[in-house]
Amino acid sequence: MGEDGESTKINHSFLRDYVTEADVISTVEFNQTGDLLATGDKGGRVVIFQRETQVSYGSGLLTKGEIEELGESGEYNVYSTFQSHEPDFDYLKSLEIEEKINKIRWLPQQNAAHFLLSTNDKTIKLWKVSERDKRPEGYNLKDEEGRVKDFSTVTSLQVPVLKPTDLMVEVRPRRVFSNGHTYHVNSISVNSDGETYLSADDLRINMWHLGITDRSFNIVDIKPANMEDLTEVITAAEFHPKHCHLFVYSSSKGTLRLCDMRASALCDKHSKIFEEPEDPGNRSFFSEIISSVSDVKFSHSGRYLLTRDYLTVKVWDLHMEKGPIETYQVHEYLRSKLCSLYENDCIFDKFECVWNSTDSVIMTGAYNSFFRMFDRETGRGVTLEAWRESSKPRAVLRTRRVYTGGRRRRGDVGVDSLDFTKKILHMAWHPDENIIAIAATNNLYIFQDRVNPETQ
Amino acid sequence: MSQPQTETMDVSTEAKRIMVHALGKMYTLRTQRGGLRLHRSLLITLVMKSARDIYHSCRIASEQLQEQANFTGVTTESCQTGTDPAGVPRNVDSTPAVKTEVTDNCPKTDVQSDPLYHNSGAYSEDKENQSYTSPDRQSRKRHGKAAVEPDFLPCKKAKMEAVDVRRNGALRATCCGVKDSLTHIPISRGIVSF
Repeated sequence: MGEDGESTKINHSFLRDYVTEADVISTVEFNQTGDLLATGDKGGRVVIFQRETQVSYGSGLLTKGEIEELGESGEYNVYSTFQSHEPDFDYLKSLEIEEKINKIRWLPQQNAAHFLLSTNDKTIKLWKVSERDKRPEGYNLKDEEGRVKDFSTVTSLQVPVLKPTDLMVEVRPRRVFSNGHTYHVNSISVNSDGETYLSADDLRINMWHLGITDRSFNIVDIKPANMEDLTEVITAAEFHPKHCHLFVYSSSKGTLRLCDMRASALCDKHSKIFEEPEDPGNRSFFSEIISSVSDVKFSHSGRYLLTRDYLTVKVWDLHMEKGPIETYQVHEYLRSKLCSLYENDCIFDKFECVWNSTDSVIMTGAYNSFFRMFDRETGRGVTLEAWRESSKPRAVLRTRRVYTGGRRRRGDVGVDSLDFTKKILHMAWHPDENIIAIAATNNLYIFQDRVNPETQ
Repeated sequence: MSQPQTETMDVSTEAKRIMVHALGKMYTLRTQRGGLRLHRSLLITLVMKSARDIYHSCRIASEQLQEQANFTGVTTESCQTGTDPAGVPRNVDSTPAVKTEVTDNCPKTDVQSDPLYHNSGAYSEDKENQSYTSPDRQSRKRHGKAAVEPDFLPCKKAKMEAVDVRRNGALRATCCGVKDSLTHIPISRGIVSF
């Protein structure tokens, strides 16, 4: 792009922005086995990647066991692409409904087909992803193209046979859960019972049955009688990974509420509330904005919660409500820049956070294409970069550093040189292995740990 | 004497800048695709409110500093119980301790004590726009943010309501916390109609 002449530069950048806005990835999710990876984008499309289980090596193919032994992890290739949501219009309120996919969640696999839920601001859809690699041939009344044969030419009967064909992946919508939300849906979460799921918007959380689309239960409603009394909104919600009666939701005030559906039908009253008292020394104009929780995730064990607010990630123990057990600074150097981050709207960015499979490492995104991993045992954090220019395929990622004082090393990036348009908001960690998927604007990066492919 | 004043001015300028940006963002939100984002509107509103509280308390603090500079011989006691230029008696609840706290700590102001201030401060500021401020739950009218910032936007409030509010405000021992002040944050009409 740097070669363009001055006169064409403007046009090109306009086109580039226009074209790629729809390609910006808005959600990333592995399925329960990690063989499939789904991404959703702002244009309402879903792209599913599948991990290769056959790797050619030398003169033959390796089995999955051999692949793992050699440390050759299969790569992810595009498996299927489909348009999940289209732009919509609410005629009653004269509001456009964006087609951007806010979240994708896979259902546990029960048969040969895969099912996933995808949602935009208003509507949740259940999709069935199935493979077809055989087709019947030899119909009596139809020819190969499907045209009806002239019956006078049919002199004998044949039994149609299934012949192998090229693999075809079919994706069909099986359920559409609409009209459940007045406000914008920010989360969906599949219950461990395998039958229900929740969807949360700014003020309400609904519970749906996967088979029933015309009805849902409202389980949380924090809408005040007078909207002028509004002080907080729901920012994320998730079911407990093991207990089907428990779920958690986070708020814009930085609190987490654990609710037990056995207690009552409407879970406005929380069973537990997790909040950390504010540090008065850190108070500023923007304290409320930066304390808003942008993501909450249960650990795989179900014992801990991971939350992300603007400057930190915190680990909470479900047994301790008075504060997090661990706090990690993601980019504390931004604390003095909050005013300019507010002016350019970056302070409203919602970062996600993820656990690794053994709950020993946590990861979250930052700016300048950086993302951070924290080892919970040592408490140490590392900064990595998801940027094509600085890493070739199969090259080892080197750690990066933001220069905040002290001795400056080569490769350190100054705080003022950070590119705030390159933000890592969405990411996913493979459920069993050390494979991570990072969404950087319209690019998807998949990194694998070759040294320790299996998490210990 | 001038240093606290400059500090106050800096914070006040920053607060004003933040408010201007907040207003711009609120307007942009309304035209954005996908409808009004409630979460973002709320956060912007909270920032606007913090900035507004601090802006007012800084203005009062700087006015006080000026008063103290003018009336050097007078004790602080009489300064506090005296009426402000607009003729509205200062709120009885404004204790000396609270006042000095704000004067000294303007940059890191305690938001809890501010509403006490900005109530009386707002009265003294601008007679026309006094319809805003007090946590007047009886009034169902939405008090526009415009009322708070007369120098940016035109005020649309009628004077009649201002008189009623002032009376109510004076009668009540205002002890509104951060939460109460939020009753006056006008979230978009569209949301209220849901």
